[in-house]
Amino acid sequence: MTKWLAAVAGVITAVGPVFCGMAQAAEYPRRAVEMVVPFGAGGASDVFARQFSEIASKYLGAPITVVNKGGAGTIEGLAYAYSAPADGYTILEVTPSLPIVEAQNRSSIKFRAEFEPIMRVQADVQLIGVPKDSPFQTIEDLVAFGKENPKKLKIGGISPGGLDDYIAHGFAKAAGFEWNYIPYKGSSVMKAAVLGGELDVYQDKLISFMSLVESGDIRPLVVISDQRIDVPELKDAPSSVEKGIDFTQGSWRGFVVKRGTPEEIKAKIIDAFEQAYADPAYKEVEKQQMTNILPGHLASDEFETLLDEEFEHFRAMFEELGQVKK
Amino acid sequence: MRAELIFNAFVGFFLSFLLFNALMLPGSDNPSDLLGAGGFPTVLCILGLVVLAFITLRVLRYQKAIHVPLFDARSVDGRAAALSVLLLLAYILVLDIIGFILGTLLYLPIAAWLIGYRSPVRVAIYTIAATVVVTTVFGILFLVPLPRGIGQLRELSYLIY
Amino acid sequence: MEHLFEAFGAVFNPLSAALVIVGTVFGMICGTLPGVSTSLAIILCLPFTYTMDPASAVVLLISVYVGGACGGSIAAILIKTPGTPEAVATTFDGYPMARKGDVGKALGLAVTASSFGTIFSAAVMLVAAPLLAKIALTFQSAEYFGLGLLGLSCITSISAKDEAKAFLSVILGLLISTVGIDTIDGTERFTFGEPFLLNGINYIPVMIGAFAVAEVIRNIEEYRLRDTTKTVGTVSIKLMKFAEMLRMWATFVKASIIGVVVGIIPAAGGSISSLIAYGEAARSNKNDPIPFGEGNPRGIIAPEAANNAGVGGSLVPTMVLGIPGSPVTAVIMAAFIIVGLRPGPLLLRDQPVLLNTIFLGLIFSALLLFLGGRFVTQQFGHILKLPYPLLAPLIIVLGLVGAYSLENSIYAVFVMFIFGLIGYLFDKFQYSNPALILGLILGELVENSLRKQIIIADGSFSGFFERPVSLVILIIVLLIFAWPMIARLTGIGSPRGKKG
Repeated sequence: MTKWLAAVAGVITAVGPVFCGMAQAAEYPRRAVEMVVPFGAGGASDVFARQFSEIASKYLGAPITVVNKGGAGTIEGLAYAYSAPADGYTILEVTPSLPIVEAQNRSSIKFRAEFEPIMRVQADVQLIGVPKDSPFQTIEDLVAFGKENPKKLKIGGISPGGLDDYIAHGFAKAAGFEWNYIPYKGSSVMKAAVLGGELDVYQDKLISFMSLVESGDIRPLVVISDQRIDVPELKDAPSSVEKGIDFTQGSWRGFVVKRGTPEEIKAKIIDAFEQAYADPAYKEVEKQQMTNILPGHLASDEFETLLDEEFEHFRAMFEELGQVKK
Repeated sequence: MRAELIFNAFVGFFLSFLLFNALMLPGSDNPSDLLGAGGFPTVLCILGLVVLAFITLRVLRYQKAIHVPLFDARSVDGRAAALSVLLLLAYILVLDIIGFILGTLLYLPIAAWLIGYRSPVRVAIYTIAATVVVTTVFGILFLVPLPRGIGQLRELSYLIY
Repeated sequence: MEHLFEAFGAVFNPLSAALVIVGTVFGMICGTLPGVSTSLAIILCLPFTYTMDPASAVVLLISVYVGGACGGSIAAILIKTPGTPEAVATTFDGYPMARKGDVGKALGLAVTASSFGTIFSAAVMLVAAPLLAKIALTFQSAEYFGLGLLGLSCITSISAKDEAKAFLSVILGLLISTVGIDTIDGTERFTFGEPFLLNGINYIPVMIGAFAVAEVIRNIEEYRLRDTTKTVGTVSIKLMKFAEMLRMWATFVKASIIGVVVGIIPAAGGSISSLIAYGEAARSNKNDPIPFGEGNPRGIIAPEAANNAGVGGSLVPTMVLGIPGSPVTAVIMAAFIIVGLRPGPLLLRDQPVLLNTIFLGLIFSALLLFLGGRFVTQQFGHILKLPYPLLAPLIIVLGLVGAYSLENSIYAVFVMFIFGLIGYLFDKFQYSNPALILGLILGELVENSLRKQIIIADGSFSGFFERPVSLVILIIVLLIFAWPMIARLTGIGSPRGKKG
């Protein structure tokens, strides 16, 4: 029995170097490329990554397989992509969660130092609204009440110390009041809490927000952005900047590879992703998900600047909230 | 009885350790969060320690012998079980180094032998068939990124799944 | 009515019928394999739906859901490894029944109950979807807390051997559930600087360890004394007789109602509903000849009817409110959006046929479970023909892949290993593994909703008693916990005198 095991091992050691050499060859891509999604399967970021990689694989000339590594609040995905060689066969999807994890010092792998951007693909808008029977008609009403009754208004969001937490506190701080942020396990539970009357204020990304606005259950109060949204139902919702609240932030999605990836391979990936971004099939995806409202596309150098900027904001805010690990 | 007392001591240590850590947790920034992060676990630990004390008293009173073969090196079957457990641990530890396929090809025959199966041909057929089926179903059909190992084994695994 | 005819055309044309068949069988296979969850099964189907018309896509995905919800029971019964989280409670009686040699009967009960639960929930959904959606909204933090306690009250019925030890097992399970980033204020609890503990300890690897791995260790140490493991011949499903079903109608119906209601509620999944249904069945049938936990048929029917009834239940808020009732429906909702349907209050108005299509798809798929079940168990049954020394390592490998693929993480495999040892010791010292899992599953729900309600009420406990639904649930819980004591004091409720 041990004989054939030895034989198997022998074959592997003999053949191994051949393939190893192959992978280093200039003819990228020789095999399927892995797309690491640092979230569980089925969420918005996962569905986006799957749809985008399907379109992009056409232009890359190799299949792109999605690998979900949702453990430890994106850290496991980060660690997995970090442990892979910098050969362009591992691409990591990023959202604001990754710079947030870095800003909170939760991981020993420093995201911005270890990865370099490919491109940012889409940007989402966050909106704030209230249930239809709420006494607040405008954002001014809400802010005025908030100033008189600090920490009385209850706003929901997904997970403590996440993007929603940042947006809630950042918005309130810019407007000069404080509210009570209550974290939920997921968007569905939070929506039920708003409709059931447990929360006073609702925040969500556009696509989720829309269905409740269309049905009349939610009255939109403000778009957290520097411009209004070009959607009939939301035409009358002012933007935060227009109301003198100097705060804009939404979710976004993009891709990075490990630092040290050869330039020509990086160029190939960027090229394929740019073509996928321009593909009508992708435009259709954006239309369905309503992520085509804000210009999402950022080339790799612009994306890098954005990451650095947002990191500073995240660091400052979470330091104030006492959520930066020493 | 001794085995159970040792077990209880472990549980007691675990509970006290968590209790100590729960008490060290910072209070909540939100004044309405009466329990805070530490409240729930603290209550549970105290409750657990009380129940454990009750159970331990009962153990001392009734003095029932419980045989745990796994920790009994003198029993043949306990040894087989203990070695199987150690083998499983070794298998898990090397998975990320040698990868799923090689690891499983090594684990299955040794495990079968430890439990007492002694037919090399059948074991060989079984090992190869099981590894091929599991790898095909999970690795190829369901796209589970099974552990790949490191270095050349990693490169090699990409040719399979 | 005309919508129903239109839907009939949409479901019973050759293409859709083929999709339902493929979907149901595929879902069952995925459900059977530990580690391939129903969510993953649906995601793997997504690329095929891009080009389909909405009705076909919806029909395909819900039949995968139905198949998956049923398939989990197969591995639970055959190798004591629940194939999906919803099948936790099915292991309690399904595996003991199979070990006694009634594999076919156990599988037959599971499939029949799954089928019944699905059809029941489909009918309820068709008749009362908008009304039911309101239930989803009456459940807020206070009610979730009550629901969590209701789940925990199952402990009084699942572990009679040693009550003190079962109680300690629940406490340990609850404690383990607190590991990780606190869901309220983000504090890291008991993580000791280990990143893999940040997301907490998932109950699936724990379950695979405490049930399957522990069972293997136990069998190995008995193997040479006397081979207690039976080699099974061909595994075939023995369907329930109709008279038998009639005799147990109450169990079927009660479990299905529990399944539908819990399915509707967004934060509670199929594992919770099957536990509650199991607890209820065990409570109301205390004097059955076969005790629960040793192969009582109702112990299989209740959880399986409940988790499949959750399918129709969780689709209700998804369609009516745009709020998915379970993780699986969250994926289905994403698929809705991809094929151009916008789930939410306007969906049923704009797409009146859709609800009927889903209804017929569910019924069709439920009937196909019998066929699919036969096929899948035959395939899966092959491995049971192996002699135990060959079967045991294979069970371990399957369990390992199951634990690993949950988050594609090797740490989950370590968790499985550690809880394999703990589960083994628990059995030796008569602690209760089911109680441990119960605490672990419900811990987060209980703690999170308790604290959230207190925060929302600005530091007051009054909300739990002022909200009518919450109050009713809490009274029920109190009665369940106090009942054994009341019964003992007054001597009622146990016709055989001392309870056995």
